[in-house]
Amino acid sequence: MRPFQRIFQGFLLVLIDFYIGPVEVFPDFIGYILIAGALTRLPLEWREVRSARVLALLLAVVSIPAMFLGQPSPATNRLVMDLDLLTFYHHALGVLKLFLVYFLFEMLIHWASDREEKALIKRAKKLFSVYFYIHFAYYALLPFFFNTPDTYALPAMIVAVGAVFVVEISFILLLRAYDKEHQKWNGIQKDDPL
Amino acid sequence: MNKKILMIALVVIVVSWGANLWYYQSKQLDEALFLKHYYAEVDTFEIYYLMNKQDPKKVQSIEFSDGTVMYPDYKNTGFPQDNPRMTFNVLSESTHYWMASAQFDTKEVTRESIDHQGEAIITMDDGEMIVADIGTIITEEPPERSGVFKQDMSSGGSDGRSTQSYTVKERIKIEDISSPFPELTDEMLIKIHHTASNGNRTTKGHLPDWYEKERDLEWEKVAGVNLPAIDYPLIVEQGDHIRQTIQHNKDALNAYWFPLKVTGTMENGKDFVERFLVYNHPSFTSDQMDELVERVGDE
Repeated sequence: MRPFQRIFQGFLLVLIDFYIGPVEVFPDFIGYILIAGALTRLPLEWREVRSARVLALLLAVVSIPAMFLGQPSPATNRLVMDLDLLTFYHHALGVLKLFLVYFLFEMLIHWASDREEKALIKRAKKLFSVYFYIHFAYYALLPFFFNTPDTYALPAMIVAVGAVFVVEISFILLLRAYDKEHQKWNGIQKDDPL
Repeated sequence: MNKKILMIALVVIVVSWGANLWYYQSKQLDEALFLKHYYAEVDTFEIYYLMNKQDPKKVQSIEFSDGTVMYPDYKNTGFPQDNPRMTFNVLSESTHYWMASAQFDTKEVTRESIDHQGEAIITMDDGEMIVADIGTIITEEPPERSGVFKQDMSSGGSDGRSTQSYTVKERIKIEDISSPFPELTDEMLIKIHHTASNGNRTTKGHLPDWYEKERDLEWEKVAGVNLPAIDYPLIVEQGDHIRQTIQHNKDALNAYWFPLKVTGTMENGKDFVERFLVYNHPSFTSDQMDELVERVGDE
């Protein structure tokens, strides 16, 4: 089993939001189950791996209802973002996912540091900061859309969602790079537990 | 990226959500807010109201102060699955509110007229009942026109200025121009200008020469005498022109449609009553909506 490939697949499922009516075709909870399963193949003595696993399992459970609830606004065509329980729920899941990614980044840097993969460490550290600052800004600015005229809120929302999308893609590409590195290490060091 | 930054960011996110939701909640109206209306001699009219964008409602019925109950005519608006702005007949919007109107047609009720003053009982489509002062609505039949005026042109713009020009068909003596709502006309500027028959040259299908010249002039330079300062009687010869220019009060957060009654005598000694229409179609800016909410809150 290739744990980084499995984590990559899990995040790809989480990233893809495709609905038929209110039903999500690729539900997020399957993605989180894949991630939680993959983490059992990584050193469980690492605190960040254990934390990430707990969070992945928690997310798998709490995101089950999301499969049937459909997407939040702007479906109502009234506001850039609706103020309802569905919106809160979706963003609460997003913030919880942020904690999961935090521990995954720590794990990735730990793994690359053990192997002295300087290029990979540099890349992961750089993306770690960018990913979090963009997400912090996104979640902190999001509620301002409730009190901002649509003419400003709509373009700002498009830019914000675009920025978040770019860092999410960068993150899953980083997981792909780790998977390749993992395969390379497995080829060289047969005694590597991974 | 360390845990401290993560925790600080989390606190910032929570504070941002809390503060924005508190502000949002503070802007919400407890119930739809109805404008004051000044309508006279109307048979169809619109009732304007402000409502929360998050929780839009339609007017289901209005019980006027004379006991008449009327149901709005929404047949020109869309189905619920269409654009909600059309469904609710939204005219303008701000961050938190929609301003919409409900249209009424007195020809559809058996009663001949409505004589409403002050508070009405409004039922919304979710069953909520609101008692609100919606102003004055009088749907009395207009008097028969004497036909001494022939309207040449009528214009209005977003700058709040409107003009109507008439040609007088026979020699008349105007003895009074009065408003059914003097408290409202006091808030706007009205000038009446009288020119001799050769003073209003127009090319067929085009606006008069003076219209282009006066359009952007300051109020003081617009031709005419202010309504309260007119020296009656005003003798107007056949073929002369009368023009009414109004500078509407942009701060007046109300809706109106009423005639200025022009009364006098014709050449044959008979009395006449003519009407110069005064009206607006409220379409408020965000600031005006906020001001309206503030004003009602103060009352």
